[in-house]
This record gives sequence, C-alpha cells and structure tokens, in this order.
Amino acid sequence: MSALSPGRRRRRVNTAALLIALPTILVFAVFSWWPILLGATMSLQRTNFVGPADWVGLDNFVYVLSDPQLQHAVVNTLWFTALAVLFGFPLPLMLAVVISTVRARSRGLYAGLAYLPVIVPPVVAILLWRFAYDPSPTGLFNAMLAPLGIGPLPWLNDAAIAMPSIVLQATWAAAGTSVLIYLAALTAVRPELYEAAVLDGAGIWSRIWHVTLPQMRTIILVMILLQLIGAAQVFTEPFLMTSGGPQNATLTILLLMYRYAFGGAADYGAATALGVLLALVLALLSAVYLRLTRRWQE
Amino acid sequence: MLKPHRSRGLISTVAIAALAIAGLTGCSAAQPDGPVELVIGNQPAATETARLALFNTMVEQFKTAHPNYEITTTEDGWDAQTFTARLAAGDLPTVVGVPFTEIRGLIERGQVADITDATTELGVLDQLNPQLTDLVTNDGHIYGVPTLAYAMGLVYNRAIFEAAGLDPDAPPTTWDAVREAAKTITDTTDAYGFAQVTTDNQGGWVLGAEIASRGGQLVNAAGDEVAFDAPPATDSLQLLHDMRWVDESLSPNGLQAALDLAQSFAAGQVGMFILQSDAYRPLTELLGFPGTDFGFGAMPTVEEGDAPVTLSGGNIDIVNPKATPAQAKAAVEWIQFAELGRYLSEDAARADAEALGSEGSAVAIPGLPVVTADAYERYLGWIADLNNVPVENFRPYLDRVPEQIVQSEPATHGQDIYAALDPVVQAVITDQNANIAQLLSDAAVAAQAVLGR
Repeated sequence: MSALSPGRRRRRVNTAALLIALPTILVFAVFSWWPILLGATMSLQRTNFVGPADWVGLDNFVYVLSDPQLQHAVVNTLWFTALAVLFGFPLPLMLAVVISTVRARSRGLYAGLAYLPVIVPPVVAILLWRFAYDPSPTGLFNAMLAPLGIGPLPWLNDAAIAMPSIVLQATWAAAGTSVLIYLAALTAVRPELYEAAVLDGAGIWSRIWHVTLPQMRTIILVMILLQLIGAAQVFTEPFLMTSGGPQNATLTILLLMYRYAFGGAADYGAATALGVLLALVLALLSAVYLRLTRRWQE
Repeated sequence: MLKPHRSRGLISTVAIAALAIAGLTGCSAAQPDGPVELVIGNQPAATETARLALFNTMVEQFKTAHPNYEITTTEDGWDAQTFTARLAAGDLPTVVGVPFTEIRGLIERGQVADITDATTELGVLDQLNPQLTDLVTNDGHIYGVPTLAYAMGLVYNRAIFEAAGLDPDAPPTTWDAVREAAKTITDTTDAYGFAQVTTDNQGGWVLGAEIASRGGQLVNAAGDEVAFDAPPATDSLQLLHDMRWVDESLSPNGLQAALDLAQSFAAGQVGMFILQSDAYRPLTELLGFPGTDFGFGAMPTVEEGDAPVTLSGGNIDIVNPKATPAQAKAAVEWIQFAELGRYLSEDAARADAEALGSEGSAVAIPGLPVVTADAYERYLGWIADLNNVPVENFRPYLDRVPEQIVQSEPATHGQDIYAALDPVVQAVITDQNANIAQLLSDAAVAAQAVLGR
C-alpha cells in the first residue's frame, strides 16, 4: 500500500458505480429532497398559489401548536403506537420462533402463509376489514362472535374500541414482513449456543430468553425503532376506516395534516408546519433511542 | 495498477447539477402574446359517448363563432387534492366546475378569477336565478356562474313507505312527523327509518341544513362569529339522539359519508335521509336504485305550515385566477353558450336532453333553477317528453318551492365549521350519554378559533 499513507488518503471514486447510482440520486433529488425543502419553506409561508407567497415566520407553527385538535392527534397517535408495538411486536416474533422450529422444508410454506396479508393491497384490506366491522348484529365479526355469546360490538362506532380495532387490522396486515425478518435473524443464531444451553439444562423458554433473543437483539432494536417511526405516521387506516372519528378518537397526526391541506381550508402552511414538527420529533426520538440502546447493540 | 482517480469535484458537480435540474423544474413558460387561449375543463369521459359527442359538437360551434380563440379541452375537473397543485403549476383549465361547498373558500383565498366585467358585459347576470347570485358574489364582485343547482331536502324510499303503510305522496313535513314516520318504518319493516351522514365534513353540512330548517344559523351575518351554539342545533341533535337511543329508528352506523349512506339506502336498509335532490343521479346510475322508488320532499320544518328553509348545492363554473381579461371573457362566453344555452334555446335543450337520455342518465332532476324561474319552467316544458326523471316523485318538494327559502352557506371557513361539527353528530349517534350542550360549546370554541385565523 505504498501510495496510500494514513495522513493523506484520497478517496477513490468508482465512476461506474456513480453513474449507476445517478438516476436514483436524480429521482430522489427531484421527488424526495426538493419537495422536502419546498415543504419546509412552505411551513414559513402563507400562500394561495396565485400570487407570491407571504412570509409569516413561525405563525403556522404557533397555530398548529395551539390547535386543540393537535392534542387529540398526539394522544391518539401515541395510543396507536403503544398498542401497535404491544401487539405488533411480540406476535411476529413468536410466530417467527414457532416457524423456525418447523422442518426446514415446510418453513417456506408457513412463512409464505404468514406473509399473505402483506400482499393484499392495503386499501383493499382496510375496506374489507371495515366491512367486517359493521356494528349491526349481521356484521361479519359480530355474526362470528354471536355463537360465543359475545354481544354485537360497536367496533369502529365506539370511541373507546375504535383505535384497538384499527390496530388489530394494522397488525394483521403488517406482521408478515416482521415475521420474515425475524425468521432470517433466527436462522443466523449459531446452533452451538443452543447445544450448550441444552447441556446446561435449559428448557425451551429458557433457551428462547437466554439464547435466541439476545442473539437477535440488534435486529429487534432496529425493528422496534422502525415500528415506532412507522406507527407515528399512521394515516391510511384511520383515513379509510373512520375518517378520524368517532369524535376524533382515531384522529392521528398525519390525518390532521391531511385535513389541514385537503379538508377544505387548503391550509398548506399549517400542514407543512405540522410535517416539519413531526419530522423533528421523530429525528429526536431516533437519536435518543439509538443512544440509549447503544450498549445493547453488538 | 492503480486506476486514475477522479476528483471529489466530480461528485460535487454532478450533485449540484442534479439539484439544479430539479430546481429548474419549478419554472413555467411565460404566456405568449397572440390569440386568446381557452382551455375548457370537465370534458365528459370517453365512456360517456353521447355526452362527449354533444360536448364536441358544442366546442365546434363555439370555435366557428369565435375563430380567434385557440380552444383545447381536457377532462380535468374539480379534485380537492390536486386543485391547488395544478393552480400552482399553471395546469388548471381556464374554465372548470367546482362544487357549491368550495366556492366560498376559493373566493376567500383568491383562487378564482374576478369575472364581474365579463358577466355584466355579456348579460349573464340577468339570466341567473337571483337566489343563487349571493353565493358567487363577494364585495360586489362576481366570481363564478352557477350551472347546476340542487336543494337539500328529505330523500325517502317510496317502496319502504308503502310497505310501512305510509303515503308515499305525502312525506313528513315537520320534524315531529319525521320522527313518527321513522318509528313506523323501523317497527313495520326491516329498514331503519332514518339515517344521517357523519363524516368528511358532510355531517356538519347536513346538520347545518337541519339547523337552518329550524330557523337557526351557523355563523352570524358578518360571518365572524359562530352562531350554532343555540336551540336550533340543540333540538336537531336531541332529535337525532332520541331517534337513535329511544326509538332506535336511526341507523346505528355513526361513521358514514354520503356514498356509504347511499349504498345502504339503495340496498333498502334505510327509509329516509337528508341530502340533495341530485342524490337521484348516483342512486340510479351507480347503485341500481329504481327511479320510481325515489321520493323527495322539502326540508322538514318545526311547525306545520312554516316555510321550508334549505341549503343549496350544485356546480359553479369558475375561471382560472391566472387568466387574462381576454381569456376570462372567452371563458364566460363559453359558459353562457354551453351551460346556459339549454335554457335559452329549445334546440339546445332537446339536444342536451337526448344525449343524456340515450345514456340512461337523468336528464333534468328538479332542484333549484340556475336561471330565472320563468326560463326554467319553459325549459322543463321543452323537454317534458324527453325527461326520464319521474318528476311526479318530486311533487312534495316542487309544490313548496315557491315558499322555500334558500339560505347561503357560511361566507368563510364553511368547511372548517362543518369539520368542527362532524364529531358532534358522531357523538350523539355513537354515545348514548353524549352531553349535547357540552359538545356544542366545544365545537363552537373550535370553530371560533378557525374563524379567527
């Protein structure tokens, strides 16, 4: 390595790689970074898109932060996130563990079955579940629960159980991806560790707790963070199922953003201001999370 | 063997160039001088062959009459999500139709052109129904031309009325009678007597109509204070609450927009609801509801014999705010020719009616006349034999049109006020212990905050 000394290492750029990446960079620049910049700019303006925009400084942010709907939205989003992580995190993990104990030949079949809900287009899945959540006694789920003696539930029509109903659908739809990722992580655990544990007299639960989970901890930590960020941005489910109702019980931050922009007031300043705020909060959250969990990562 | 390295400068140049290209995409071409360009929106889709053919014929006639106009057409119409983006990009047609419920917000934000000069010069104002000009006027300036208008009223299923032993030609005219009829329907048939839309700002909008029918207002005359925290609203909500929890005659689905409600109505699960007369169109064209079962009555009132009060709905043709005065004039000429022509010439009326009828579309649904009452009567007479809408089913409404009062929607932030009222309507339908007074005052506070923005 004669030409490269530690003090004056020059980076060698692979032109071919750069050219291959160029279309992607351009697409990202035009469709991702530029709109983000424009959105951040718009959060400091009021515009009707006809004349030049007015710069209003932090007016939009003040408006958004003093909107009582924001409080609802934040609480609801936190509630959704808590429920989603509570249900949506252990379930795929357990499924993955169960599937990993099956013979390798059939593992693919079960993984595929677990992944099927993910393949259903989200809008289709949501509308199907919405149909099934019909509150009348002849609604699909109510009809299924009736023989068990469980009375017709109002599902989406009750402010208290509307959000858990949505989380149920969201978990069903998204579990498959997590199952596949955990399955891949599981199969990477070295079998010698399991043998050592068995020799030490560990039962199946002990093995999972002391061998499997610690070995997967990096993946698990990343998945939790991704799930938190994804849950904070939930939109499609409340939009299609309840439009934020009943009584704004399922109003989430992104749905509020949508209402600002397209709810009739065309208040793009407020919508982008809320977007900037959310992005900042999530960035902060990620930074804090990664710092706190640093010592647990490999 | 080391490959010759490229400098870091290359990466920077490429990245900057990429961003620069991205930046240039924001520029739009300047308007050249020359012949007047007119882009006409709302061209019928290719699947609507007869209407499209009629549209194209009208475009050709207009081109012949105005050879110095460069006319292009597009299927683009009103779309809440993309209107602003297209306006910003300069992609909006010169003439486009927007719903009644949007016009006040658009005027407020300056997103429609001022066509006072063009409409006065062409005499369009004199041809229009004076009841509707308030809607498109602000500060003495005109911002649009109503081309289709409907009134809110009581939509009911005549077949269900007959099955319940009620007279389909005499729908309830007071709110107490509505409650009784709803109870009768629920008791004697499988359907719920009444249903209410509750989401997408429509809950607040229909509640606004119900409040207006009881003599109430949503905002004060100046439009800067909410006025719905008052007995008319409390009474309307109490009626909904009692129908839901006491009589159990109100559909328990507390989360439905107009289309969802139309679907259950078409399926025979609901007997009555409050909406526009043009609900006839999607019910018969999209949902297979038999037109003969469609009944429409005027808005119920508090006391027997009171004049019904209603809100209006429909379509307004507006001009792109970025249009030049010459383009605005051309646009208004087109509107007058294409949209108002059928009320002014028997040939145009019959051509339009034939095109619609041949597609199985409703030709002329009784509603509010866009033109003066006389012109409208004359128009209905011209197409009487071609009209496939059972006008007799609208008799309970038409008979009361002379005394009907059409109230305007809130001048500003109407959609926000409806959005604030949606949760209130949802609450009374989904929560038996809903505190109506508290809900209304909370909604008033929320709506007042928006009015102040």
